[in-house]
Order: sequence, then C-alpha cells, then structure tokens
Amino acid sequence: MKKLRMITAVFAAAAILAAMPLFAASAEGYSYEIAEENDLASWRYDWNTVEIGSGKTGFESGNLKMENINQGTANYALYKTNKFNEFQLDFYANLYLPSPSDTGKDGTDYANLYLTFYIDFDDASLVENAAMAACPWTMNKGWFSVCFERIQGYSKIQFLVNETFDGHGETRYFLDKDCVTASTDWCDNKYHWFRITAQSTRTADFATSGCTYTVYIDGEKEAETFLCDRIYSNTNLAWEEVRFSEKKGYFGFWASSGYGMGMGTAETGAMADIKNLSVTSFDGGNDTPYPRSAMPVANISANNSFSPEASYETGEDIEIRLADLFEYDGEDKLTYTASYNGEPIGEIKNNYFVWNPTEEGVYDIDFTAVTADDLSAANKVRLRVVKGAAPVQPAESSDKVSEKTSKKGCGSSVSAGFSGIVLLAVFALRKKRA
Amino acid sequence: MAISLSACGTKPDSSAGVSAGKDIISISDSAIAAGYARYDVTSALKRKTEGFGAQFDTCVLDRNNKHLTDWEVYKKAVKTSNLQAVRIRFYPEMYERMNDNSDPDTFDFESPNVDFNSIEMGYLYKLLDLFEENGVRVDLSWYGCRSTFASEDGKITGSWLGGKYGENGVNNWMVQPSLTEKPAEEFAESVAACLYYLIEVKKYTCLYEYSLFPEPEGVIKDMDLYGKIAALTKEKLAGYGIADKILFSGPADYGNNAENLKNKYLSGKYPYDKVDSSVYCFHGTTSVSGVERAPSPNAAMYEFAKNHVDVCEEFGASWGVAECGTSNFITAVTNADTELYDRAITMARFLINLCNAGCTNIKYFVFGDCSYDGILNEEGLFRFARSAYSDSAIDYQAKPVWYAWSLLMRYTDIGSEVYPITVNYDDGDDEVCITAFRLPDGSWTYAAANIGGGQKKIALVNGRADRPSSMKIFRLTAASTPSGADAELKIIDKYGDADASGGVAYFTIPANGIAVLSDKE
Repeated sequence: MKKLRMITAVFAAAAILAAMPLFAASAEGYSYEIAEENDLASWRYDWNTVEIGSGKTGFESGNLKMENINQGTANYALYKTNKFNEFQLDFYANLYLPSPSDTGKDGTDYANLYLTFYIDFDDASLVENAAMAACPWTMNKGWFSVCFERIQGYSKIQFLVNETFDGHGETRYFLDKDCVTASTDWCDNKYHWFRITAQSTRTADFATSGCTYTVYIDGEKEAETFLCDRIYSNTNLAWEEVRFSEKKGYFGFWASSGYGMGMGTAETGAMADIKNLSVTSFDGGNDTPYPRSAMPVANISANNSFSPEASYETGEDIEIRLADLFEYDGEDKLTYTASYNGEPIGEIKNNYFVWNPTEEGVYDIDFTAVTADDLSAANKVRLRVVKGAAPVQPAESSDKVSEKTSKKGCGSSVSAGFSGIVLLAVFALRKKRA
Repeated sequence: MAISLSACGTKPDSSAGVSAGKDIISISDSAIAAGYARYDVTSALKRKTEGFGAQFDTCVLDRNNKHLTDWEVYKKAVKTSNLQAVRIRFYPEMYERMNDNSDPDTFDFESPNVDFNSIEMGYLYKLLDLFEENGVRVDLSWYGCRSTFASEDGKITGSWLGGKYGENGVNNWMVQPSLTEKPAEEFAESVAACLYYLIEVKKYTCLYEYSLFPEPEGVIKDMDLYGKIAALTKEKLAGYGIADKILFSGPADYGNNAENLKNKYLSGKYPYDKVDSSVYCFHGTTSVSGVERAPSPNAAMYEFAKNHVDVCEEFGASWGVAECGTSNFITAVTNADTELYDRAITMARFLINLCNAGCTNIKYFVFGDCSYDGILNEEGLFRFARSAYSDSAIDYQAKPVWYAWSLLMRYTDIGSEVYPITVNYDDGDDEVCITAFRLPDGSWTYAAANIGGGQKKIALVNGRADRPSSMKIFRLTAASTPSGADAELKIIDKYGDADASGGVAYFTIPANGIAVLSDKE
C-alpha cells in the first residue's frame, strides 16, 4: 500500500504521450503504420469468435469482419492471447452501423459495436465460447466497455461500466458526461483510424486513483473518461474493491442492432470491417505492440488404441465414429474415406462410417482423414462380421398364470448359455472401474 | 430372472394397469434367444401420462418473427409430432392493458382498459385454436407482470401492475405485482377473469392447467404474496364456477431438490392440483468448455425423478416437468449441445427415466427457435426460417433432438399407462434404459436408449394377453440422424419390424443409440 501513496506517473503514460504526435496530423490524410507482425486483425489464431444465428464473424476477407447484425444474431470476437491493464489499441475500420431510422427499415432504432475490456478469464484460450463475454451481460466477465452506437441519427461514443447491483443481476450504466456525439462521423461507410488508450493513475486515494480512457478518431480526441478505483458490486453480487488502475483482462468486440431477425448485411448494409489492429500493453514498462501468436501446427495421426466390437452381424448397421480413429489437435473439419481392398465401402454420414454388411467374414477397412491443408492419416481397422440369426419366438406356452401371481421383475438378465459369460464380463468391468 | 416387484422399486399396481384376471404367458429364461438381455414388462404405475410436449409461445407470431413465420409449418409440425402438451408464456398486460377498475373483486369486462381482442390476444387465440384442434393440453402460464411490455398497437408500455423497466428501481423484465392499492388481489382478479373468458366465452377446452410465476424464486421475493395470489385466484375461479375446469400447477421450481420442493412449496402451503419443476440439471457427453465428459447416469435421472414423484405423492399430486433441457447453457437461450445428437439421446434418456419413476408429463423448452424479444432462442427442436442462420440448408431445419422428441411423442398418447422397465441400475446394465407404454387405444410402445459404446441386444418380454404381435422399429443414432437439406420436420423412417407374437420383442439398440418399438398406427 505504501507504494500507492505516491502518485505514480507510470511508464505507460509517458509511452502514450510519446505516441501522441502521430495524432497531430489532421483527420484527412491521417495514417498510421502497423507492422505486419503486429496486425492482429488479419491473424485468426489470436481470436476466439462466436456467431449466433446468421451472424457472421470471420477472417475470410483477410481481416476481422462482422456481418448480418440484427436482433436474431450475435457476432463476437475476443483477442484471446494476452490480457493487460494499460494499453493502446489501434485499428483501421469501417464501422458502418446505420440504425433502422437511417435505412428506413423496420426495427428498434440502434446499431452498435461494443469493445469490452478487462474480461475476466484465467486463460481465455481454454474457454470455448469466451468471445461471448464481449457482451457485458453475457457471462458477466467484462468490466468496462466503449460502445460506438448509431442511434436516432447520431453517431455516439459511450463509456459504460458493468457491474451488478441490488442483487438483481448484471447491469451497466453510462459514465457521466460520457455519452457523446462524435465530431467525426464514424458511421459514414468509410474507413477511419481508431485509437483507444488506457492510462492508469495510482494513488492511495480512491477518488483520484483509477484509469483514464481516451478515444481518438483519425487523430482527433473524441471522448475521455476516468474510472476510479473503488468498491463495486462484482458479478457474484458481492462488494469488491476493484482497482481499474491495476486490473488486467482480455478485450473483445460485440456487434448488435435492432434490425429484425433475418435482415442481413445485404439488406441493411450494417457491418464492421476491422483492419490493421494492434495492441500495445504498457504493463511492466512495455512499449512494443503485441506480436501475432505463432501459427498453430496441427498434428494428425491414427488412433491405434481404437477397438471395434468383437464382432458384428450381417444385416445390422455398423456405425463407427470416425473421430475415434484419429488423433487430431487442429481445428479444421476433416474429410474421411473408407475403403476395402481399394474399393469404397459403406458411406460416411455425419462423420460416422456406416455400413450394413451382407456377408460374414473378416474385413480390413482402410480409413483416411484429411485436413483442409492436406495433412492426412490412415488407419486400418479389422471388422469381424458373423452371420446374424433372427431370434425365434418362444413356442406358444400352456404355462399361463394369473397376473396377480406374477413376480416378473424389472431388471435384466441375459439368457442361458451366453448369460454366464456376459455376467462374468460385467463383473470384471465393474472391478476394473472400482 | 425372478426379481420381485418390490425389488424394482415400483409399487404393485392396485388401481390401474392391466385388467385383473387376464392370463399372461410365463416365459422362461431358457426360451429367450442366446445373447439377448432380458427385460420384462410387469405392472403399470399408478398414474397415467398427462402429455409430452414443449413450450410454445405466442412470440413466434409477433412482430419480431411474423415476417419469417410460416404458420402452416407449425401446424404440420404439431400434427406430425403428435404434440400433446404445451406451456404458453402469458401476462396480464396482453388483455388488461390498464387496471379495469379499482375494485379487485369485480372485473369489468367492458372497461376501456380491457381488450380481449388485442393484437397479442390474437396471437394467443391462434395458438389455442391449433391446440384445440389437435387435442393438445395447455398450461397457460402467467409469468408475472411484464415490465418491458410494449403493445404492438403502440398504446401500452410497461405494466400497470408491476411498473416499467428502468423506472423506479424496476430492473427485471418480469416482476411481481406491486402497484395499485391491492396488487395481489388485482393480479388474481386478472388471471381468473381471463380464464373465465377463455373457458366460458371462447369455449376453449384445451386449457388443462394454469400456472403463476414459474420459477417463482426468480420473480417473487415475497413468497407469502405468491401464496396469497394463488389462493385468491382459486377463490375467484370458484366464484366464476370454473374451479373444477382447470388445474392449478406449479411451482416449476429450479431447485433440483425434492426436499426443497416439499418444504418450500408443498406441505399445504400453496393450492396445487398438479406439481411440476423446471429441470436442466442433466447432460450428455457435451460440455460448455468443449471437453467431452461422462454423461449423466441413468440412475441419477431416475433417482432424481423418483424423489420428486414420491414427495408429490405424499400430497396426492402428480409430478411433471414444466420445462427442460440440458445443463449446457452458454446463455439463457443458447446451449452448447443445441445442434448435437448428444442432446437428442440425453433428452430421450431423460424422458425414459423420468417416466419409469412416475413423472407424468414433460415439456421441452422450446418447440422451435424464434426471436424472444429480439434475441434468437436456439433451444428449439428445430430451427427457424433459413435466413436467420448462416448455415441452414432449408427453412425450419430439424435438429437431432427433434427426431428423438417427435418420435417419443408420436408413439405415445395422453393417458398412456407406464410400465417401468429399468429402475434398478445396480442390478442391470447401467448403460441401457427402457420404458414401456400401453396407450389408450391398446397399442404398445417401448422406448429404449443405450449410452454404451457397443450395441445392446434386448429381449423385451411381455407375456400379457393384450401384448403386441408385431411392432415397428425406429432407430436413431448420430450417424442416421438426418442433417442439412435432409433434416425435414418429419418422423424418422422405420428401421424394420419386430415379431413379438410369442411375447418377446427382440431388438438391438445401437451403440449410443435410441430405439423405439410400437404397434400404434
């Protein structure tokens, strides 16, 4: 705590100020260089994305793009590689988010892009749908948001703090004086440079300790707010001392609008196209942008521990989940084949091998799995097929008993002959589990 | 095989089931084909089924959805699946736009504040007409006061009885009545008057039950208020002379604990005619994190339901499930397994195990995807119009769970007797669950699921004189589930036939598969 008694002009502040001259240029003709190795918007491996409904969030265009933004969809993208406290976020984007009143379409009059910060995961790369936390009230993970909102003919910039209150679940509220109409119309269907900075001030006094957030568009300062360190209601509905001057977390995008479900970008035009995105964390004295993460190297091989059933019967479908035949740590969809003696056999359906054998015998089936990048693996599996016999109904019995005296139970037994073997097997299995 | 009835955990049937005195065939173990596990149809449970179905809300017709909704598809889906029971989300603002008058004892049907012909009520009637035509039992469920209500005619926002969202501390979309001098009385008056109108004026007979504030702990802070409203509503229904025409059901609690249900809601505190719960505590192999896990055991499902059924029986009530799904919530309307076969087999096992324990009705949440107040609810049995998704091959594309749930609904009927088969997993195969239904028309349906990695060969013995002689076999697996453009809203094709004339139905449940046998037409 003693360290906090001094106002600490942290290194980050100096670094941010050092970068300021770059913004001195006029909006027109303003530019900013981002090295390719720092351009995260074109590197999908740094992101977790989630699409709901017809929402489309992807990198097919070469950079991060969100489309089909309406009430029935959701588009999320979270930068999953690093979390940080003080930062400078730059991106070059066309945030064309006209609201229904702009386009004359039906719907509730808003369209927006949230940037949510300090998303509180231990390791976002391990959370399958982490990106959904970019919506502040999904998962209740993100503490602070900057929202670019188009509403009633205005292009707004809003700062929001997200906390719970009064025991009634999550909420968020605008920070005072911070719902501003941008002097630069960021919703003009043109690309603009966006910069958001976070600069901490650390003191012992909650009134002055906190973090200052500033939004620039094309080099012009558009909005600024200070979020002080204080007691907030956390997502577990408990009061918690939250120091924005120190808090680290992930950041993500979430796009939404009031257009009716089914109204895609082709109809409304609404989309967010984000390029040249870099993040510089100033934590620990750093002043260089984060590099792209290494491209993951996927491996694929046969799973030799796969064990088919002891035998299959003619006339019965054999179904084998093909993912069980291979070990693959990539994310591509695999393409499978199955053949016997060089000829295709059965069919591949819903990523299962399905075959209804008609002849008994031993079949060595060759399976292959191929990735989109032409990585492949093969696995040979021996299937033993025996002749299936239709069971015979019991002969009409004269052994009729009154139902009232019946003691038939509900459990199961296995019929004579086979039963002893199976029961022993079950017993052995249970012992093993124990 | 000579396990006594008591060992099965089921009580001897003293009031229902087969007719006394009918002969049954005794089939010895030696008569069963080798390699088949024997299971027996024995005695029916005390209570018959009250319907399997789904939540089916008016929002499918509202302004957020109507430009995409093809009502003919819904009508056909209801018929095809033999939907038996639904719950409809409802609230007073749909018809009592403002307070009818200041006297909660006299509902003024002629008040300018009352509009039984509102746009929103038109949606309700369209649903009720469909359910009336198809014999579907309806739970009309007053969720509470709709603080976010915005009438489609533009005249009303918020709730006259609960407040307006964002104002005066109202921060939930559904709240308890709190305004006017007598909020409890006004709410009860509104419910009773509406039921009177629907039953006596509109002549709907499909209204089987009504419920108040489902999952009450989430809406009502003051449980005495809940009890007061429940009692007053009953009293007012009696005043209208319709108390015996509809059941009061609830609480649709989400505590997942039978003792809690008993102590908090039963014990004579609230006048339920029928008890139900919201159940989302089971799962298959899917997890939200994406890592496969062991599925909820059959025994856990059975035990959970048995505890609830036993508690309810203490109070002479049946137990059902007001809404259900799996535990794989990502958000309230998005599940990690929504599109997966894993959800289909989990929900099939859920129904089988719960029925074996005596649960009489189950409503899946929800019938079909659509926008709920601007948010796409993706928990439906089938998808919405194609344009609402990036990867739908067809409009109203069925999900795997549709094929399981529709199959189970299609081959059962309201009033079916339940013959529990797998109730003691310590003695049997814990990977297999089976139940049997004898339908009101005398036909039989066996439903089975297998979560094991290998197929299971089953000999289901039914020596009763009224046993089926031949049964259609339906099988569902991850591989065979229709997908993409093939995923139409239909019942899956028949796999084959089983001869059961000698009292034994032989069939195979595929690995991780579902099998349904039936001689119902």
